[in-house]
Amino acid sequence: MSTLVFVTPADSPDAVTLGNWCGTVRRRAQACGHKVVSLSGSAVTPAAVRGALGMHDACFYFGHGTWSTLQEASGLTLLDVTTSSASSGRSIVAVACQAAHTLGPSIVAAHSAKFFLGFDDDLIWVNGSPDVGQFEAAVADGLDPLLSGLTAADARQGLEDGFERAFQHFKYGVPKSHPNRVLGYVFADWDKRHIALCLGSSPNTQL
Amino acid sequence: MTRSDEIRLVGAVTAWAEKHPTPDLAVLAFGNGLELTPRQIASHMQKRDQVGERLFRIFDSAGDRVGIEEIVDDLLAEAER
Repeated sequence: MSTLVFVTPADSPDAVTLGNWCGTVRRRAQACGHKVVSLSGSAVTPAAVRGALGMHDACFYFGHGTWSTLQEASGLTLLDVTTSSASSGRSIVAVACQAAHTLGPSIVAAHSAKFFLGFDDDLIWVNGSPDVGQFEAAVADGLDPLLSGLTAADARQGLEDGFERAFQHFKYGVPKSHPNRVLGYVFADWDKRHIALCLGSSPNTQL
Repeated sequence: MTRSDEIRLVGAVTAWAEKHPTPDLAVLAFGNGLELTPRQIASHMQKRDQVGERLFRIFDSAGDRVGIEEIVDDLLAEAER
């Protein structure tokens, strides 16, 4: 079993939602026997993220992202390629916009991270209960394979399967009069298409 | 997406937004902090501003799978509830 750090800035309404999803994944990680550490709220600073990255086997980040950074809602960069040298040999999962587009491949190439799993474009969900639960389930269920000892590629497939279930739910599982039905299936399909896994040279992509 | 598809999509999104039970509450959240209400979604797509262009790109992507015509029909079905 591994030591995992869960990072949740929770510094804006959408980041709070992502923090709730993180809580679900963190509990499942504990149930799988992993040692879990939390870094959340005002404790999330650039230095703390860099430090956490170097001290744990894997970092699960739930917050804002751009093509080339993980960042606070204020725009302050928490992690970029120049500050991620501690990621050597580590695994990163970023439930965030865009970061698997440029940041992920850069970290893997420059610092020999084991893998970076995330999204290579905007991560978008339908707000409000119960619809948001479909997106949370897509992420939490999708990451289950990784937590239970399978590989990063299995987790990527798990995420794709999770968003496909959300697509099917909205397209075929709710009444046509549901006010957010189209948004649900359009954006679940979008998220599914933008899951990206950046692999390093390690043949072992388990946690 | 053809120009004709775009016009029909904007019309359907506008009709959907007008009939939405909570047209001024955020229904979409982006993981970069952006939240949009139904009326804002329609407005951005009508104006074709930067956010509108992102929304067109996303609808176009889903259209590759289910067809823009079906998306338009589904939006209009929601508007007619």
